[in-house]
Amino acid sequence: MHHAFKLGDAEHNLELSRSADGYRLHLADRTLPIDLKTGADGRAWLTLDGEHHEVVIATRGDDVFVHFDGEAYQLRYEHPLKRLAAAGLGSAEDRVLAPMPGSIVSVSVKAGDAVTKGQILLVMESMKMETTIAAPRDGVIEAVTYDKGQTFDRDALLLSLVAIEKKK
Amino acid sequence: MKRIESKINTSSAEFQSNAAHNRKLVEEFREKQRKVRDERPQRDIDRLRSQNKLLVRERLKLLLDPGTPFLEFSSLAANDAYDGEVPGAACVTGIGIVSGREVVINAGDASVKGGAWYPLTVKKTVRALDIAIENRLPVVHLCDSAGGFLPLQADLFADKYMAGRIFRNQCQLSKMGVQQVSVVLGHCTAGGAYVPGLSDYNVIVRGTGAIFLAGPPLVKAATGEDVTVDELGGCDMHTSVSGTADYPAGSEEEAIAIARDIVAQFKRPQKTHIEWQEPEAPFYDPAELYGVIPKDIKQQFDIREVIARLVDGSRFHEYQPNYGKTLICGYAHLWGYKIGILGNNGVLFNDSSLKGAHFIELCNQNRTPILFLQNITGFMVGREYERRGITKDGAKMIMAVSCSEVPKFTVMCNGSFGAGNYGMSGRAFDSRFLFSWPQSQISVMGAEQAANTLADVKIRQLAKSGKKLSQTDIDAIRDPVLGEFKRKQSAYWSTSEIWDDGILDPVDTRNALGIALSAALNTPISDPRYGIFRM
Repeated sequence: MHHAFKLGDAEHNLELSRSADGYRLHLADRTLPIDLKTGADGRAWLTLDGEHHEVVIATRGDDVFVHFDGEAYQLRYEHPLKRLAAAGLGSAEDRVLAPMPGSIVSVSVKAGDAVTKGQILLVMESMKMETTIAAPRDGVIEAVTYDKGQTFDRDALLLSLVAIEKKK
Repeated sequence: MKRIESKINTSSAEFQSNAAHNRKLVEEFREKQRKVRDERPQRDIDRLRSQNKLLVRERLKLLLDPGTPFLEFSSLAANDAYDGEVPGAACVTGIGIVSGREVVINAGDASVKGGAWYPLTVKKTVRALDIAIENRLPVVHLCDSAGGFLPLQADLFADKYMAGRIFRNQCQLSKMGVQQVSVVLGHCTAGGAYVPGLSDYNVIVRGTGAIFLAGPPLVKAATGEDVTVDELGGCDMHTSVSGTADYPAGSEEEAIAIARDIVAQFKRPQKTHIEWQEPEAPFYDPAELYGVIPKDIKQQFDIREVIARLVDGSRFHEYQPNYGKTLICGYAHLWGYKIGILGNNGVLFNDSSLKGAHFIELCNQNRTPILFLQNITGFMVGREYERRGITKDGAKMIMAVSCSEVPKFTVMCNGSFGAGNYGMSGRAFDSRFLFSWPQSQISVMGAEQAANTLADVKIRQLAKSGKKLSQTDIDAIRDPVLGEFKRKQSAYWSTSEIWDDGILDPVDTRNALGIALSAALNTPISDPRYGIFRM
């Protein structure tokens, strides 16, 4: 299994594989035998490259807290799917398209407004149901296409955000 | 499988007001349930006590393994019927653990009209036995019934799914090799006598238990014979002379203890193997469901927010995330069991219907049980969509749902309107279990639309003969329809009519589905096979 952790701002990539008596830790330049045993009292022993260390490990969601050799560390587990998806984020989210045909119930922003991710942009109605359209990311509204009461087809451009300049 | 990232702000005013609203609905539901379970007129309790009988809930407590969950079915059945005088339809059914085995329990409630069978009592009992058949679960019957409620006999006796079906189902169970125990704690008269008659093991209580085709008064009328209850069908006669019952018991406590020991002799079933991993609690607190469900049924919400609060670790592998986005499909684990989930994020279009049909086929191919989370106003209407064949694409989805061989489970999360109810495995489509949330609604179309449609028809009829309706006349047509629709589309009506297996507090849904999944795996999963998909 391939894993990625963030320790501070630095991202660490590593892989684990099974071995006859535990696991192997594959780092960029070397491979070490590794194993973790947890006792009934919750204490854990890490065997790394033949050396035993007592460690305390706690997890909360994707955050891993490790007390090791007198130091406390906070790691963040990065799911590979999420990490790779985030790396490829492009301009796809600049345009907010209608998920279904319908009409506008209310618009809460205008061109030039700064919005934050999750902020309600407009409410539309289709087939007796009201759907709330929220900002896909932080940004600035470039244009709003429809006014209250106007109807539109599926995939019509409802709103657009000012594009983020691509990092080089 | 990555974790769903909730986009809900739990400190927003909207979330808080939804939560307050839904918590209140759940409190009302709990109160209704408490009344049905525990509130009886004192004279009925006194009558049972004077007969040396326990109440049905006390019997269940003795029967079930301590500390194990009991998934009660249709606790509010018949609550909107018979002027509310037959709480729970005068019986208690559900899945419980007895001597370490999952069993269906079918218990008469003699504190309600002496345990008489009303039409909905029969429907609830037949449904419990259908569940036993579909999931190959042994049954423990706790018999205590006055017999059919005679004034309504025409509604409970002769038709295909009426009282005869109880006995037919018992025979089918036996034929399948699924065992049944009857504990005779009161009278089993006429049809009721066949419940122990068709069980594999019968325990009968001395003094209060009796089995006969006709009780002493009827015998007297028919043949003039004078006979006591005990001579005619009591404990010692049946266990030592007729052989209709097997084990005599001196008290209800002893009878139930014997029944537990009988169940302990049953061979433990070999469950169907499906993907399973160590269970993990959802990352997002299921109690947040109260804030996720909007107050207004017309307001759309992201069904992924519901999935995130039901499944292990809130992890979800979404299938076709960019296609047919009004139907969310994907895999997750629930109490460790791998499941496929279909949940609505809007009306069903051509692409969402095709996606649904395809995903159901995938689940059947890899033997993954399917969970349907309904919040659906129907299939898309209009010229454009008819031209694209919305009817035949919907038909494909209905074909896939109907012919699905893997166990299906349905939760009515919010709206369930029109053919959307069918495409998402409504009651008619043999989901192994179907549960409703308290605020959910079911009807063929929305109340407003139905009232307007009927008013429209009337206006046009009268227009032909040159008459015109005033607004008062139109309201006189609309308002009764509106009222009737609103009453009958509520979850309480559905559950009263046993269109579901009970209303759930949304927070309990994960546990109920866990029990349901475990039960469903007693039945092997066959190879997938379908009819014709209209292309």
